Amino acid sequence: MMLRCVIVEDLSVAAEYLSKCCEKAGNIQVTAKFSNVADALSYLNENPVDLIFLDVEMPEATGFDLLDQLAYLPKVILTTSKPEYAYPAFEYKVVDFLKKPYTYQRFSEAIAKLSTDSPSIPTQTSPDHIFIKSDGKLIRLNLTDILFIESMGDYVKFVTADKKFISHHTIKNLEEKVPKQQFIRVHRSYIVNIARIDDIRENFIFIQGNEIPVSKSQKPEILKRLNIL
Amino acid sequence: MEASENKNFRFDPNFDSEFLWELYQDDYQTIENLFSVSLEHFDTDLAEITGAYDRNDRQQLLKSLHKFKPTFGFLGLPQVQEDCKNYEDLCRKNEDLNSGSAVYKDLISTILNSKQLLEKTYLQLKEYNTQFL
Repeated sequence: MMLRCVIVEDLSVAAEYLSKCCEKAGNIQVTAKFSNVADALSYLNENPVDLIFLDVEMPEATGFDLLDQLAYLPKVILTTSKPEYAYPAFEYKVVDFLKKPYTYQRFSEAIAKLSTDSPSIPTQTSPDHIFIKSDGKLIRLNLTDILFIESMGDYVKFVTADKKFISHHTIKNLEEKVPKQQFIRVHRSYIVNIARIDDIRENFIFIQGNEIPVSKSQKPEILKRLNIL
Repeated sequence: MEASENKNFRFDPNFDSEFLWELYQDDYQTIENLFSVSLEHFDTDLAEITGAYDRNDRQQLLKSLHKFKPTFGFLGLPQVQEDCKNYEDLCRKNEDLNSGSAVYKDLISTILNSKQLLEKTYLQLKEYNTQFL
């Protein structure tokens, strides 16, 4: 399984070395690199990842500040040159603590711990909300409140019972990010929240008065996912 | 970091070659790349240290030193990293930066010498790696 990760590290050579280690590991995709907490936070709240390689001391804010403010908690491997951070690292239930500079062997050991790590840390597979960027703000949306998502070219519309939010995403991109057990793509332009479906008639899904087309090719999969007696 | 056989670059004795081997084996392309990245940011990172010292900003000096010191570890100069750490420890103990001014001067001199060594070695690595292109 490919792990999506970000590197949050203000020392360029350390970030570059870490990228190389991820590349060598083969199953870790570095989706972004950041040298400060604010930029990382903004990205991570919109782009859930499986893993963060996180430096502790950075300009303006620390890696622990990032963990405090993050809307969800992926697995975290701390990278620092200060062993004093080992104790707070355990407090934050991080998977491992890499003291810079570390060898690839040591990096591999940290990665191996990911699969045996305590499941108590919620990961992106079980978030109950997402943050979307809309109207220049980051808006928290509870997943259960989303009725459906509609494509509008390079934008999508998140529809809840009483509000609509337009955000810059493609439907394809979102399909990969929302929990698959909760959402299903029913048409090239629509993803629906399975729990919010009122009824299905012929090739349409009805959710709170909204009529959503269903593509013929998707219908068997949709029916399979419904709890039909 | 694809290790390949039959390469045998000789590092200057100031480098901890064994540690470099431990980090990268004989992936000299990666080492060259990391030297390049470090040198690109070297002056800025060093200026953060010297600027903080000149302003007598102890907290910023500690932060900048802490950030910069692993550079030397990654580049096979763990003794310079250790020197940075020792000065960091000294600054933590003494609020007055002037009391450690001699150690500071020595450290800056060591760092500047390291930069020259890194620049020289980077060029050698670049030339060495060219033969495998």
